[in-house]
Amino acid sequence: MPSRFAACLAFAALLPFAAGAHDYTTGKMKVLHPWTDPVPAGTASAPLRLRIVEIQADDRLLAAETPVAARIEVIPAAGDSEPGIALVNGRDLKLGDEGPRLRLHGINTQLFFGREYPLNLHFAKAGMVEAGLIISDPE
Amino acid sequence: MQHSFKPNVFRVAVTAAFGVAAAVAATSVSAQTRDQGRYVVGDFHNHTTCSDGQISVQKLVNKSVDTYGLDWFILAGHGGGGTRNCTLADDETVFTPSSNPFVPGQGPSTTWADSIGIGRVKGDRAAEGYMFRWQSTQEFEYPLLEAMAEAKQKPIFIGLESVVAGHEHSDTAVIAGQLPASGRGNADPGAQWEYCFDRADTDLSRGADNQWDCTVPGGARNEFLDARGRKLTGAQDSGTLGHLKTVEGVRWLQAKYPTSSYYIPAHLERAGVFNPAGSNGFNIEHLRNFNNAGPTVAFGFEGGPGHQASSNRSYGAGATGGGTYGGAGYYTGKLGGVWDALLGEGRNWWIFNNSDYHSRGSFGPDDVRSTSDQYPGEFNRSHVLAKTGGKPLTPQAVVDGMRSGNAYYVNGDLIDRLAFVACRATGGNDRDIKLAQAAVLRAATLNEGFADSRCAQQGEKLVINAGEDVVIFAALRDPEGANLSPYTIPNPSLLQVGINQPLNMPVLDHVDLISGLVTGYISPDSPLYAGAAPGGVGGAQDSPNATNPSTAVRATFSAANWSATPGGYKLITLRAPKVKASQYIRLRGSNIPAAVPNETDAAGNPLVDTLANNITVTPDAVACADPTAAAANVNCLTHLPVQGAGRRLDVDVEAFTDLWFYSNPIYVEVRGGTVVAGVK
Repeated sequence: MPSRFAACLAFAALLPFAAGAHDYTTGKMKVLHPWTDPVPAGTASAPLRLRIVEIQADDRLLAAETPVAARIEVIPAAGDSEPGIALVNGRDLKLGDEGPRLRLHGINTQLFFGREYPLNLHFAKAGMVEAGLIISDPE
Repeated sequence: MQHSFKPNVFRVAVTAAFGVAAAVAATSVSAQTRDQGRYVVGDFHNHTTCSDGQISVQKLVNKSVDTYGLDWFILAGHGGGGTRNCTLADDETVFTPSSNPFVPGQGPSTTWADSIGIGRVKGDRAAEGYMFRWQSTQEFEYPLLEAMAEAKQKPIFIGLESVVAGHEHSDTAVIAGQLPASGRGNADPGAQWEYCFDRADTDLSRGADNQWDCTVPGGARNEFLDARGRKLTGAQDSGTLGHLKTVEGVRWLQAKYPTSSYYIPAHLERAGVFNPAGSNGFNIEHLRNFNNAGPTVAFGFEGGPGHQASSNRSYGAGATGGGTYGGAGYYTGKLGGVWDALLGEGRNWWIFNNSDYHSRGSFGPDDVRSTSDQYPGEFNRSHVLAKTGGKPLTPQAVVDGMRSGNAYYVNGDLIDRLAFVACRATGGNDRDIKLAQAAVLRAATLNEGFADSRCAQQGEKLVINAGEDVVIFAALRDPEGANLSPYTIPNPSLLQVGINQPLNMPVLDHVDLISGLVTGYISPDSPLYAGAAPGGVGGAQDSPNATNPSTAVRATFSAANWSATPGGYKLITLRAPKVKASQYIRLRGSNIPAAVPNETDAAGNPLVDTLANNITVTPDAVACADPTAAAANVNCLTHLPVQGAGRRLDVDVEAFTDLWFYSNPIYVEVRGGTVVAGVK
């Protein structure tokens, strides 16, 4: 195993994270805990946070959709001219409030704490991943 | 203080009603001197806001044991920890013991910092207000459960859904110390296990004042313990090293709590096959390793995962097998697959199901509909034989019952009674058979086990001479009336084949008797020991090492060839002549006949549940056009995904369409043949 790859693995293993029911595994990655805050119907915009770990192949997150928002904006990293957000083999990706991120726009229902709604994530190579958007707080 | 609990009154009433028949059967067939035990229903995989659930401990317990009538309840919750105080009642209507009164303005999503105060939070992340599970278990959740157990007079105690080093999740518990016969108990051993072996528990404080040390008696990895935390951590939490850590955790349980703990991998297909560089699923070699390291602790897996009301009935496309099969994981649902391979070794490896309750998805916790989970006891129900010697039910009796393998699991109350027995038949004549049938039916009627030295039941082995006949009996009840489905529409799966049956009134269609040969344990050194079973995902096929090709449906019983008796009981009898090889037999049954499109194949095997999305449900357009009526009439099914002019079958409605039950096996060991080594 190349030493650089081994170093990445060791680093990933050291990262603490909570694994729960909101993990979605494909053959090449694991999507952890997509969530947003409890907000009232009509909220113009809110962050959609998640993490993607154990990435085993380069890919790009191109789009996302949920029935509780008119649209989800996919914001690439600064300087990234390709569409979507880059996933790099062996490197965990955190989508939060800054940097590459997802934002819900046009929230059409009150998002109560603890509820969960469908969320589809579209990747260039992995295709669509059916996940859930939980109304929660960080785990 | 008494922490053991009275059986319900059902036994007394039925004994009186069937007293004459029982006396005949008892004197003619069986001495009936042993404690036959009684089947009790429970759940050991569920969540509150202490991990990633939606409601408090109190509300979850109330729903489970009051609304859905469970006889026993084991609170789980993920390892690791969290910031929320799940011991705060949701509102003033939720029953809570006097030890934990409702606090206006606070609830289960209130943080520990805002409730008990950050100064009482311990461990390495105390400054963040993050409480590790070991602390919440030890100091907050267990004491509350003890008070709930006392109030409800049922065994209500605590376990864990561990975030597993090297894998995804497992259900585990140490019951030693919990609900003692007198005085106050504790959950200290389980809390220590969580600190020592859970991948998500990154605390290195040694449990603060506990000052735990995670050395494993006879362990193989003690030299790698972290100097400060005295536990395996960091790189030892992932991949192959992570698996070795988990084997150490099983070894710890076996050494310290061999009869008062369990370790049962949960939804073990969900994260795909094992990943030596990550934390994904379990392959057969990992299950074999667990059973070898802890034969009285690691004795099974969650054959029926929870989350059955979620999209595609629990699993995503990344799961082995590409999804669930009639609600069962691929390892259980695939005939001749991983479970049958383990049984083919003669291992004590049993299956259970659970709710994995977190929330009701897009609905509130008191809505009858769900796009995520059903409550414990609402849909998935594990029936476990508990022997109490006539005394009240205890946690030990529940765990002993789980370990015995005398258990079966059911979806949607498809059946609620089962007596499954295999008997030596040497010299047996028709009269003997009839008497035995009566005795088995009596056992089912009383919801009891079956004690006869000439017979074996689930989890046991019947030892015979080569060439003897074996007679197999099963008595089961398809309960009359409605189940807990809130929907009364015609079952959309059955409508495809012209059967009009309300979704809340399922009828048992058939029962399959399945058998497979036992060929003995495989050595860890053998090339046959390891192998993945991806179930075709990504085009990858199952290793033959994770299969048992001798497994087959030997007989199918339905209204055409079972004996129906009043009250919904079905009686099955099959004589297996001149048995020459050691083997196991097990049952499964369904409300879905063979060859129903998108549900079953021509042989009656369940198909992957994603196919149910192909079935269109047309709701009552008139009722749904009126918003008021729509709110009251759940049959509008407006939560199903739109597809064309109708909606596609999914979430909780899909769960209630195809219902299954699975028994655990009875082994038949032929003298001079292969020994069924996993069952003593």
